[in-house]
Amino acid sequence: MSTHGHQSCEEILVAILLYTDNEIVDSSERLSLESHCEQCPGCQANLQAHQESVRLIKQILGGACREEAPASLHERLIAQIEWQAAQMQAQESTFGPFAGFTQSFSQSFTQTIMQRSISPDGEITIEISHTEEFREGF
Amino acid sequence: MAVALRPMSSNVGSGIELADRASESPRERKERFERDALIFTSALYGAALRYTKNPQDAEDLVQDTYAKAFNSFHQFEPGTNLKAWLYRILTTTFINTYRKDQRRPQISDGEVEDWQIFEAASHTSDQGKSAEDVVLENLPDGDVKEALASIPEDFRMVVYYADVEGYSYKEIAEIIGAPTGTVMSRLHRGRKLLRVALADYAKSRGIGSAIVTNAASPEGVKP
Repeated sequence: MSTHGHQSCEEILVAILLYTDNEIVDSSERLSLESHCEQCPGCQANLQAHQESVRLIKQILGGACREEAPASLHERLIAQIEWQAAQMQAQESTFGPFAGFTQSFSQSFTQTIMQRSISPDGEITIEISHTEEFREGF
Repeated sequence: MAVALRPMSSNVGSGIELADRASESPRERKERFERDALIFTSALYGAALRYTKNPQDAEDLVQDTYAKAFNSFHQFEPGTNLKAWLYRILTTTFINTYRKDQRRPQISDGEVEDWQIFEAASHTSDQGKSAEDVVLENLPDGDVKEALASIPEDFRMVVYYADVEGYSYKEIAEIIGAPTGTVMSRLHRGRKLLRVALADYAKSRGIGSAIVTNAASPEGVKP
């Protein structure tokens, strides 16, 4: 390992990873890396190789992993949000005049989950269950 | 889908304050949610496939994610990154619901060690690079997806968020709930694991016997 400018080649090796991912926000740090690489063929080769490797991975993954959600999922989501909004509306209509009730009811509503399934013969089953999952924050 | 596509911008959904969001009617919330959140269905489905490796589970995961997101939508601050907020809910939903009963090996992240960095930074610096690139670029999509699915989840998802979705270390850290140093470590180890897995697929198809040696060796092997 040698030193070109202010940083050793070892330090530059770490910086190359950050630089390639656009994670070096300080312009003077970026310039320092660039000037080191201009003077140091080994680090210049490492920089180019790493940039090329990351570019390749992005290209390969980007081409293969762009799935479209199936139309059936879009329909399920629209139906689910419609149902949730209708439930909220119904509760507000029922408990609207009682402000104190509204808050506590909406808390318990957030623990309600609906699951729809359609059997092969076209029968639709709607299962409504309560879960504690919603108690947890994100 | 009956939702108009809108360009991503910091103004999406802005102009509605917290007090207004808390008091908006269910109908208004539904309209705002369909307009601003449901446009990310395919993006969430893609990430869900990476988590579950199964289309049916992926659909269920996306549906659970949107159900939770709708109930908490008043808590989302317009002008911040809605897609990343949804990814965060997707991640916690997967961990709490789908992974709850699964035993999985715990992977030690550790700190970013110099030798790991060196391997990550130097493994392609040899003359075989362009030939290797051509081989990997021509792998069928199915092989690429399987190679990605074959690496451990912690690494797989960070690589996906960085290299498919283009998120920064900080954004990924918020999505997966880990420090940025961990994100960096997982990303570089994950990319290295992925390259080896891709090379294995190429080799199994008899089109890349030379590149496995290169990808596995920090220094590369000159012919």
